[in-house]
Amino acid sequence: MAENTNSEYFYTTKGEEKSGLSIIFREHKGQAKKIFLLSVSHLKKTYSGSLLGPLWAVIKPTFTLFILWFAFAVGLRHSNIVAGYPRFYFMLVGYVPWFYISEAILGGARSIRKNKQYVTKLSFPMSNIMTFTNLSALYIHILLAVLMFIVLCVRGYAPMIYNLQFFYYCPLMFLFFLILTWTTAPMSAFSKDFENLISSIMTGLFWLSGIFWSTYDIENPFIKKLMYLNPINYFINGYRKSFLYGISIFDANYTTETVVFYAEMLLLILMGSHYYKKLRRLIPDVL
Amino acid sequence: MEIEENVVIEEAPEVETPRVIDRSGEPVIEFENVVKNYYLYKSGRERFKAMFTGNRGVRQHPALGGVSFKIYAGESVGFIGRNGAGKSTILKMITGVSYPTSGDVTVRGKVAALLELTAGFSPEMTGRENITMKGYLLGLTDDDIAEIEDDIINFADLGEYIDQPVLTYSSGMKMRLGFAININIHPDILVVDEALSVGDSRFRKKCRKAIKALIDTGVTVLFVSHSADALKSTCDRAIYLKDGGVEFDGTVDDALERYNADIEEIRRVRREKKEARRQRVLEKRAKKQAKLAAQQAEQSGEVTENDV
Repeated sequence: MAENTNSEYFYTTKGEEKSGLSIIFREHKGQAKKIFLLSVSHLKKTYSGSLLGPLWAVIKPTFTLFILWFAFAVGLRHSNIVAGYPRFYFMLVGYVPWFYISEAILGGARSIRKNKQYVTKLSFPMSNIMTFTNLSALYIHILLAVLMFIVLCVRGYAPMIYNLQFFYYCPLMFLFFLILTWTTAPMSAFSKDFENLISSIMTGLFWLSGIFWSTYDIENPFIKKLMYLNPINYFINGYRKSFLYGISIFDANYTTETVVFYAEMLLLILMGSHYYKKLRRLIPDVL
Repeated sequence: MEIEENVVIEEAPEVETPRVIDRSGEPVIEFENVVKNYYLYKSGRERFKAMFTGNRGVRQHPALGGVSFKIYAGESVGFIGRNGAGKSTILKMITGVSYPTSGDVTVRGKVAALLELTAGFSPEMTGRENITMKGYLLGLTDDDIAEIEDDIINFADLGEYIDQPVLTYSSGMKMRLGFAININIHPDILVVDEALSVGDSRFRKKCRKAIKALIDTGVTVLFVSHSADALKSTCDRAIYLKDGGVEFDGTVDDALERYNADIEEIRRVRREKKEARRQRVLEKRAKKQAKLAAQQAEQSGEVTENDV
């Protein structure tokens, strides 16, 4: 048996890849099944042990949404219409992607530290950890998006052809925040301070992004342009274009926003590739 | 192939047969001038800073200082050395958990490490699901897993618990499942740490037997132990590590001799130091007492003077 050392099980530290990006690609090659299984396991772990189980995945965002609606539609009654839509529906469409985004940023950053055993005790490609963590958050998001779609159908905003843009925005959103974790997850694993930094800016991000106000309604043209720099707005507004406004992705008025977004994504890829490569081998020793 | 193996076992049960090792081909494990330094951060602040300065100025602990060796298919190699000599670091590199600071590590073959048996289990999944999971983590395909699943279940002997979530298992049961998986994946390289303890004595016996059977099939074995008897009976080569370097690489007997001589030397030095310290303390005490006596004598002298 010892003679048949087949090439499938070959491991060497020689000939290191040039970029972190190629390392990440190689680490994902042929791992789909494993990653899927891990993402399901992660989902179960998050919601198991409670009576209502996976229902909590829906209850939590619904409850937050209810509170926000109560505060703004019932409490502060004077601003009930935003961008021509009742505040509840406007908020709903913004809050569903936000719930995923906050989960992806925070959960993604914490993922390596939370799954320490894979890094310090097993030979496990570290980048897969971020992928399966984000993937399990995506399942919840898709469930919420379906519920949101049903609510919109009942109210009469949906269905429309622009709803199909979901299949552009959703995968792009997954990819974007996955790439973000290539930087944030190793850094958070390395330094707990960095993780705390991220969790403390989350509330700020919520209010700075147009989740229940419209960034397109800002009167100051400079600040309005400044909002393009926040990639979260690209998705929040994208969802609203697809589910409320009925605006195409290719609408000429929003080209600048799209260009800015893709430039940022490119930057993030370069940064993630750099930091992932740099920290990958150090993490098992310092975690 | 399996039939051949069986024949070999039947022909030579329990008898030490010198293995035929082919050293002309590529080694299964190759360490080339491997250096490993661990960073020692003083504080969270230093860690945070190191992220942006590239670990400049951070104190380092040298764990391995240029280790080179080659292990060929079918060899059974023991690693000896005191705590902190670098044994675990080397094993971690072979299992692909840790990476060298410089130098290269090459491993050709499937590694089963009886080190972290329960690592990688998902507690909310059943034992059976975890077999698949762990199989994926070890790089097996679906076919491989299907083939060995029954063997694993039989070996772990968990009864109905195999379809219960792992979080309901006792630590002994988890260990048993972990061991059963690792021993049954048909590895090319087996890494055994003797400090391993698995379940009750009955199961331990079973484990020992399974390890022995696996070794007899001719896999490459890496064995870490402090027990001279265990090393002699399992290994035909030993690497003695000292302060992060290969001090000796050769027969088990010679390696043990060197190791024991060093241990003896260390004990002797320690004894001498202790003796010297004791001597110093005694001297000090004697001096102190003499001083005290002198003072007392003076005082009593004064007292008597005053009295008069």
